[in-house]
Order: sequence, then C-alpha cells, then structure tokens
Amino acid sequence: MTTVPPADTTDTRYLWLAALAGPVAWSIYFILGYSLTEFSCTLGILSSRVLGLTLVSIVIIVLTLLALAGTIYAGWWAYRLWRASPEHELGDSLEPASLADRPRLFMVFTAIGLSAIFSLLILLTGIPALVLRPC
Amino acid sequence: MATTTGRVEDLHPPRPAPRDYDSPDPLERQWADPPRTLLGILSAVQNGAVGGRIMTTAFIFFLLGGVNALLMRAQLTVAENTLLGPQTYNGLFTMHGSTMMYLFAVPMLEGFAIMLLPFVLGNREMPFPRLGAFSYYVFVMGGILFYASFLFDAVPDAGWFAYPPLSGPEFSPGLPIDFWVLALGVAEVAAIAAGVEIIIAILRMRAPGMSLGRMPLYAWAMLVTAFMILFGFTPLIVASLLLELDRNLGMQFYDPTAGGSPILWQHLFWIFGHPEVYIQFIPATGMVSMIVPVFSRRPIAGYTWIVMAIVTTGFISFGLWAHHMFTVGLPQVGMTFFAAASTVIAIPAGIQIFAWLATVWGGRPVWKTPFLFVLGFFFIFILGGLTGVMVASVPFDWQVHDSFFVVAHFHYVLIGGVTFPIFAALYYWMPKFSGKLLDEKLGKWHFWLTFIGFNVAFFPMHIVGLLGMPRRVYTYQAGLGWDIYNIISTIGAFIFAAGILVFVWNFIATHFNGSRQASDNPWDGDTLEWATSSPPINYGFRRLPIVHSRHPLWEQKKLFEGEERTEKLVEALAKWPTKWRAALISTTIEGQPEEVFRVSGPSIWPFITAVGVIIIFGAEIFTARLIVGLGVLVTIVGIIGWNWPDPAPITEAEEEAFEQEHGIPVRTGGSRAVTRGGMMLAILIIWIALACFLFGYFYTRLENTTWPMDNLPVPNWPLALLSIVIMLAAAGASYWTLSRIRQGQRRLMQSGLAGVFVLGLIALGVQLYDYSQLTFDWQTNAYGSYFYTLGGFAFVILLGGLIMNGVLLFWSSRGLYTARRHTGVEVVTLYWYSLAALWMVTFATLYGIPYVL
Repeated sequence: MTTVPPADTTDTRYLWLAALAGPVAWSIYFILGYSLTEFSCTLGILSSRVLGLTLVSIVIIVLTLLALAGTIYAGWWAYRLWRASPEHELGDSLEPASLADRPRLFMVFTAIGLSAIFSLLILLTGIPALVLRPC
Repeated sequence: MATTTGRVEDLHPPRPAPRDYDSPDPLERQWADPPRTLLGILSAVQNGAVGGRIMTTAFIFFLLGGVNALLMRAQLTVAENTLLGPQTYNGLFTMHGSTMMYLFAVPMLEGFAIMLLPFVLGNREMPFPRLGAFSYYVFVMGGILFYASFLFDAVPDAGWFAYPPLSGPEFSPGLPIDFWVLALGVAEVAAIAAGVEIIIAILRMRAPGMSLGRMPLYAWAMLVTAFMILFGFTPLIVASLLLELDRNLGMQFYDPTAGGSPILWQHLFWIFGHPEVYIQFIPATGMVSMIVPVFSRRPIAGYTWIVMAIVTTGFISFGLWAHHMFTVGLPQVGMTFFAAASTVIAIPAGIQIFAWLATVWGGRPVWKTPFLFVLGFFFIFILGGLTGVMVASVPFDWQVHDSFFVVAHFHYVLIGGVTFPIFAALYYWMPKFSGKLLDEKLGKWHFWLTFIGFNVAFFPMHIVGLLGMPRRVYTYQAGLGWDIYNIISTIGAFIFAAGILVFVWNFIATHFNGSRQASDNPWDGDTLEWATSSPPINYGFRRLPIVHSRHPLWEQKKLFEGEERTEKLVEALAKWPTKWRAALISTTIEGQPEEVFRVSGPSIWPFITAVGVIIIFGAEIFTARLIVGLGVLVTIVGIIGWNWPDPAPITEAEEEAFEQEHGIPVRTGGSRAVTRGGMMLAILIIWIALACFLFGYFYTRLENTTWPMDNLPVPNWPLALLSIVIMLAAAGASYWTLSRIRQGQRRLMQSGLAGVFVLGLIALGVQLYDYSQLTFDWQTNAYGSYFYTLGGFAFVILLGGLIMNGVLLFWSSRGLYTARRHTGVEVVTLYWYSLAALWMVTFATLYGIPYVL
C-alpha cells in the first residue's frame, strides 16, 4: 500500500495559483469596481454619457469582461494541468476515492470548480451596470 | 457500508490513566498537565485544557446572553409594557447581541478547534500552545470586564454595532461605550491569536499521508474560517481603535463637522460584521460534514464539491458587507455589487446542503441526538437562507430593513446554522472530550423543546416585521395587530430556554452522577480522533497514525502501516524523545513528514501577558493613563519572558544523528516552519490593519472637497523621504545580518543587528522631529487625526522591530545563534522587510497624497 503517488512535475506554486486565481481575480475586480463607482458618484469623474451608458458603467463592463476572461483562463489552465498530470493516467473518473489518492489532481479539480463559480459571480455582478444608472 | 476495521487492540498499548502526573511512563509524564496548584492551573497550555476552558466559558456567556434575551422578550410580550424602561432595554439588546456574537459563538468554535484539531489531524498538539492559553485568558478577562459594566452602571447601550455619532463622544459621553469598545477589543485579540494557531496547525501539522485531499472537512472549514478571522477581525479592531481615539483623545475620524464620516464606521464595521457570521457558520458546516457521514453510515457525498463550497463562501462573504447599508444612500451600481454577491453566496451553501442530503439519502440514518440537531439545522437554516436571498434584493430590503423580519432572518440562520450544529457537536464529541456519553432521552427532550420553542419564537417575527414592527424598540402601541405575534414569540422563547436548561441538566447529571465510561469510538466514527481513548491521553497519539484515506477508521485495516521510512519515523517518535514534547511538521499539500520540533510545555507567561493586555484596555476605559503605561510594561515583559529561549534538551550532534537516520531535521529550538508561518501571519495581520487605515484615509479624502482641509498647508516631504530611505537601508542591513549568520559569522551578525537597531532609531528620530514641526495636531480635524494615527501606527510597528532586535542582540551575545540554528534572526529579518515597506507606504501616502489627490 503506498501512501502517496510519486511526485509529478507540477510545481506546487502553479497549483495554488490556479486554485486561487478565480477568487483573487473576483476580489480585485470587486474592489476596483466598487471603489470606481464610489469615486465617480462622489467626485463626478467618469460621469459623462456615451452610447446611452455612463462612462463609469462602461469601465465596469470592461473590468467585468477582463475579470471574466482571467477567471475562465485560470480554469482552462487548470484543466490543462489536469490532462498533463501523470496522476491523470491512473484513471479518468471523478470518483471521490481517486481524488483522495491524488492530491495534486484534487487541487486542480478544486481550481476548475472555483473558476466556474467565480466566473458566474463576476458575470452576475457586471450585468446591473448595463441596466442601472450608477449613482 | 461502514466497518469497524482498524480498531484492533494492537493500535493501543495499555494506557495509563489520563493526566497522570506521576505516571512511570516517561512520555506520559512529559506531556502531563502541570500539578493542580494555582501556578500549575495558570500555566496549563495543552490543547485539551485550553480548548475545554474556552468552550465552558463560552457556554456560560451563552447562558448570560440568553438571560438578556428572555428579559427582552418579557418586556415585549404585551404592548406598552412597563416591566423595563427604554434605557434598560437598550442595554439588554446591546449586551445580548454583543455577548452572542463576540463572547459565545466565535470563542466556542475556536475552543472546539483547539480541543479537536490535533486529534482530527493525527498530531499531538497545536503549534503554539501558549498562544492558545493567552487567547483564553484574554477572552475570559475581556468578557468579565465587559459584564463588569453592570457593576459600574455603565451598560453599553448603542447596539452590538455601536454606530457613531450615537456611540461617539458627543452623544455617548461616559463609560458605557468605552466598555463596549475596550472590553470587546480584548476578546477580538483573543480571536485573532487563536486564528493564527489554527491556520498553522491545519496547513502544517497533519499525520503522515494526510494530504489536503484527505483532510477531514472540519479541518477545511476551520482553515478557511481562521483566514477569515484574520481578515475580518482586524478591520473591527482598527474601527474600534479609531472610535476610542475619537472618544478619549478628541480625534475626528467619525465626526462629520470636522471632516470625518460616520459612514466610514459602518463600512469598517460591516467589513468585519458580515464575514463574522460566516466565521460562525463555516465551522458549523464543518461539524455537520463530520456528523452526517457517521450517522448515515456512509462516506460524505461530494467531498471536493464541499471543499470548493467552503472556499467560495469564505471569499464571497467579504463582498457582502454593504447589504447592511442598503438604506444609507450608497450608489445604485455600488449596491448591486453587494446584492449580486449576497445572492450568489446561496449557491455554495446550497451545494453543501445537497451534498449532505445526498449522503443521508444514500445511507442508513441513525436517529440519535447529534443527528436530530443536524436535521434541525437543515430545516431552520434553509428557511433562514431563503429569507436571506429575499433581503439580498435591494428593493425588498428597503421595506424590511430595521424591522423584525430581519431579526427573524438572522436568528434562523444563526441559531439554525450555528447553534444547532454546536449542540450536535457537543453531543457528538462530548464522549471523546470527557469520556461520558450524554443521556439520549434528555437529549431528545432538549432537541424537541429547542426546535419547537425556536420556531414558535421566531417564525411570527417574519410576519410582525412585515406588518411594520421595528427593531430595538422597548415597547409598541397596542392595536397595530402586533400583539398576538409578540405573545407567541415570548412563549416560544421560554420553551426554547427550557430546552437549554434540559441540556445543562443533562451535562451536570452525566458528569457528576457516575454514568458509565464511553468507549473509544461510541458512534463508530471514521476520523482519527476516534482512535484515541475517551478522553484522549495528553499526547493524543503515542504512535502517529499513517493515513491513506479520507476515512481512516472505516477504510484502513491498520493505522500505522505505510512506507517503511514513515513507519520507522512514527515508531521512533513513539519511543523517543521523552524529555521534551515532540510534534511533527508535514508538507502542506501532500502531508509528508518534514520536520520534528519541540512544542512548548506549561508556562506562566501567557497569563502574565494577558494580564498586561487587560490592564491596558481596562485602565483606558477609565482613562487612567499611568496604569495603561504599567499595563504596557507588563505586556512587554510578558512577551519577552514568553520568547525566552529554553536550553536545548539535546545537542546539535544528536539532532544531526536523527536527521541522518530518518531524513528529516529535528529542531528543538522551535520549528522553522511554525515560526516562519507565525511571523508571516503576523505580518499579514499588520498589513490588513494598514489597509484598513488607508481605506479610512482615502474614504475620508473622498468625503472632503479639499485635502488637507481647513486650509492646512501641504506637508513638507524632504524629512519623510529621508526617513524612508533610512528605513530601506535598515531593511538592507537586516538582509546582510541574516546572510552573515547563515555563514556562521556571529560577530558580523551582531554588528549587523546593532546597525539595524541604530538605523531604525535614526529613522524614528527624523520622523518624530518632522511631526514636532507640524502646525496642526490630531484633534484639529480628520486630516490631522489620520496624519498622527497612521504615523503612530508606523511608529508602534517600528518599536516592535526595535524591541525584537534588542532581544536578538541580547541572545546573540549569549551565543544562541549558529549557522544551523538561527530561525529567530530569520523571522525578525522578515519583519524588518515588512516594516520598511510599511514605513514607505505610510509616509508616501501621508506626505504625497495631498499633492496628488
């Protein structure tokens, strides 16, 4: 009975990066977006209207798309790490037992899931900027 | 599906009785609790003692908070009641909320963690036993100080959230709010201290083979929670500090007439306040994830999904805070950020619920008391979550804000989502902690009284809230249609209280009536704590288990078999050392053994340090500044004594011999991983605090048309730039110092330490001189308050660095540091890097922003 499969070549730093990229991207997006809205409404910057939307709303939409792209990319990158991992050859299933024996694969799968849910959250957060006046 | 494999008698050699100080077994003696003299009791640091004390004290506060609530309900039973006056009522709801949120829930859950984690993780102790003890003393003394406000007729009365201007110096002069800020401030320090310990325990002190993917879900929950505590409690400490500075030193952070902003308090408070409820909820979900599989007789369904859900919840919970401020006048799109997050956070909660339900559905339920409380949790918490999604919608919230609908919502999620799991956990783990199974029949009475009483008390509040009854009112007019609901709520509250009394009776009867001893694994659990005796011996595991599965006791035939090298290691640790307390450090992701280190034993210094801290906070309530100074001295002495190095119990040669044989280092001077981890977390906390100060600074800047205000001149930057440069040089000198000791050049290291010290002093002197030339002070306006407070914060951090350097200099003159052992120098160097960066950011902001923004 082995304790842990032989270490693969995936640097642990990449695993942590992949797992935390989604949440961190959302956090930065959130802080930037909310601060920008507060600045705009208090100081009046970015308040001119373009194409029926306030400039700050457009900036928020752009930030949303950037954050979304980053988070989806992190998830896709994690998926590629999964396929590249030697642990992947031990079996293809998502059964709980197989992830328990493959710590790096567990990290990667977590990364994919986190990326999915934070992508959804970023999308939902950005949509109101299309509809509501900012202030 | 569950089997009772792996519990054959070869797992445990015959054991001496727990806590047997005079045991002939050297390992038992080494790990025994100190003798039960006063000094011994105050010196205990073991996770069992500390965890048990925290939990017991937290439960007593729960009872006190409950009495507050019953008095409130008694007053509200009928309209225009004259049982209690408005001032008393205000005090009661403040004390009730503050007690439950600060003195019951978080300490109870942290106490559980300290007690339970080493056993669940398969190790012997927490990484900083003395920090846990300190956390307890500071918590209990802070709580007593808080309730001492009754003795001074100074009961805090501005709610558990203490909004200024009501809580500020103009509208709350006198002691009550000072009690609130300072007594609770101490409890907040306790929470952070325990949080640091929990993070390192979970990331680095697990049994061999327990990779992250095999860690029990309770450990995942506590890991996320502990990080949340660091990020969540620090803003509260900063906010409270600013409030106390306003109150006692005449500063202007929250005074709008002097450029400050009361809304800033709301932001800072709720940046703490919302994560606070998830800090309570997530450990509860961790407990439920441990109990559900055992009482469904099958492994949890969706382990990885639950891990993702916990991490997601932890992050998203920091994006919800302004949903407590929807009626304050925030920008629309700003509010939607919070509304979106408040809604989406239901998704991970739902994922967990479906995973638990799937587990129960696919299993064979065992209808014992812990499981009943879990079912109660499902029912009540889900209802609370539904009303939560309702209030996440801004327009709906505008209707129900400050009404009893919200009271109903949060009691459903907090009592259902936190208190019910706590009771489930108490019934589940009590046989492990104390060796006695609580009575099942009384348990069922407890459950049904509590469940029925809760719903009778709180469901009507949804209705009466929608009918318009506001919160925090000591009485109401008759004939508004609210009367019948209030009567029902009060009846329910007393039924609930009866249930709690049944529990108290159950506890007392079980422990003092000689009930039979529980077996090691009375519930046939799957995780490692059930492989210890009930109660566990002080060192938990003689031989550390080797883990191959998420459910070691169900799926592994043997607990101590694995790779030959690991088997040899755990065997060696079981036999040696016996003259000092050894514990194992493992790698973060895979859980492979990395280091053996010495864990601290009994010590009086945590108690002394805690006394110093309580003197500081307590004396400040009465603005007795001389005594505050005394408290500072006691605290510094305590910290130095705490960190006074013990003589190494074995020589470097013996350490190397062990490393030769087993391939991992032995560090009796303290673990490098643990010390580095502790310092990095301390640095993290400092930077979170700085971020909060800077948030306040920029927020206040935004709220004012000119900056500096009142025609104050822009600051003179040359001296500040000089001090920044000197600090950067100090950081460089620190790096040089470390590189010298790595080469074993002790003399050069000592001169380096002295150089860093001198440079730091010069930087401080330069900056202090510049401050002495300022034409305004901290009371002039908010700009002035920030200028002095932010600078003061940097000075305090620098003073910490100077003291640490001084201590290092002292110990290096005694020859403590060598090329092989110099962790102290390493972590203080890290501190100086952080300090230099902090100095730069702080003074660049103070001296630069007025030119730019």
